[in-house]
Amino acid sequence: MAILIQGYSGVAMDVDGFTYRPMRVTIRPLDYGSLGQYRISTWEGGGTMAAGLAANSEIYQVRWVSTPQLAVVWGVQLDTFFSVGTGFTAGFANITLTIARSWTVDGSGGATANLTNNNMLRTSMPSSLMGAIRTSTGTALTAGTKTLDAQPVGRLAFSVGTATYTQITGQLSLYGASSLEDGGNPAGLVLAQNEGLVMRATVPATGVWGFSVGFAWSEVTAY
Amino acid sequence: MSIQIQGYGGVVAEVDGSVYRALRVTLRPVDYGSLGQYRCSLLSGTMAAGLGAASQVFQVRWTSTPQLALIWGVSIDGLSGSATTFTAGFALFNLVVARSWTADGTGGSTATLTGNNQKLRTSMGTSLMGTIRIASTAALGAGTSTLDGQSEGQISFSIGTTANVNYLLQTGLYGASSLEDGGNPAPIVLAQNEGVVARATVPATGTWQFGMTVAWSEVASY
Repeated sequence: MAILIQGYSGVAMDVDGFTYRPMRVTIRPLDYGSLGQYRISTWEGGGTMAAGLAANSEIYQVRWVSTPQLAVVWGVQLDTFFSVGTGFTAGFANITLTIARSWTVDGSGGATANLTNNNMLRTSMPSSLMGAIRTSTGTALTAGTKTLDAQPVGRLAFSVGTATYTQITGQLSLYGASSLEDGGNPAGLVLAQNEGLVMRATVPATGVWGFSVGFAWSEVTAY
Repeated sequence: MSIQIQGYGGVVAEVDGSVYRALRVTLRPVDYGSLGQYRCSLLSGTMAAGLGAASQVFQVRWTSTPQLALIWGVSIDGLSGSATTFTAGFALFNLVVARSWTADGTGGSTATLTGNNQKLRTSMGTSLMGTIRIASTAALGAGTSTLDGQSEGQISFSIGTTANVNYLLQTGLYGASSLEDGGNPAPIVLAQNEGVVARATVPATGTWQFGMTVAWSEVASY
């Protein structure tokens, strides 16, 4: 005996056709309940990054402070990396994304995002509970107090030449949708209280440069 | 007769609407039980000129049993030329499965996987991965393993004589950006003493740097 599967509102589900007879499904985002889904893009202000940044300088920080809620990070990408009027000494550059745990004291410096009534993917969602999203504005961010994992979870390794006003990278993923888990194992990076992500940069000497970052996440009560 | 599907927590599933009548679903990662999901990215040193053809430059070796490692993706995160330029020619980076891997490779540097490192959620277990190793300046020692006859993924490209240029940006060798994308989410399933190895063939004279990232789950069965 065949049975119909009926949704909560009473609509009966359909099968697609006679060839493969697959059930129809539609993918929905993670159920955020009374919380929400968010996305933000920030930059350093337009070619403001000073020359002489130390190796592995922190240039972008995301810190989750709420409990018992969780932040599920879907993607972090470097949107661009460019030189401006003062060229680099040629050399290797490296930008990484690393998980931070036991983050008890926030970083400092740079600019922090205003998340009050901003960056929800639907206006009916509440303001984000994210503790801080901080972007460098010329110099390295101070680290605060936290423990970084021994290795990053994503990386861009590239060469930098001496040309001024040059687009050195385009949009490249450091974690998530456009990278390794896409279509296979949709593993969100799950942040509990006082955990977060840090982007660090190692660039050659003398150059003045700019960058921007995109970040997408959900806030949920359980996962 | 119609039925409704009720989840373990008592919530009844919904159908999206009366046009397509599609059941709403949301994707979750593979259930890792008491183990976990991990991701690790490593950077080489400045690789010396004159690397032998098909030199091993990145090794991931799984040693646990009866647990399994599911490799969801391996990417090269960039291949950068330095001021010491290459002779122009073809280059090749590939990823090959290693089986019967009874003696670990040598050389390079290895990832620290103890404690909370590389977990995608702090409550997950510490990784059981045997070794993740990347070259520093020279080829890795191969250890004792049997490599498959052909690679599972590769990128071939030309290298010129210009100094300080990117020859590759982020490129998938297995997983998301390659054949399985959106179609058949088939991880490489590693049992004890199995792994994956990235090998490089580059032209002469140039020095270079590269990064590698691997994403995996550790499960009791699959």
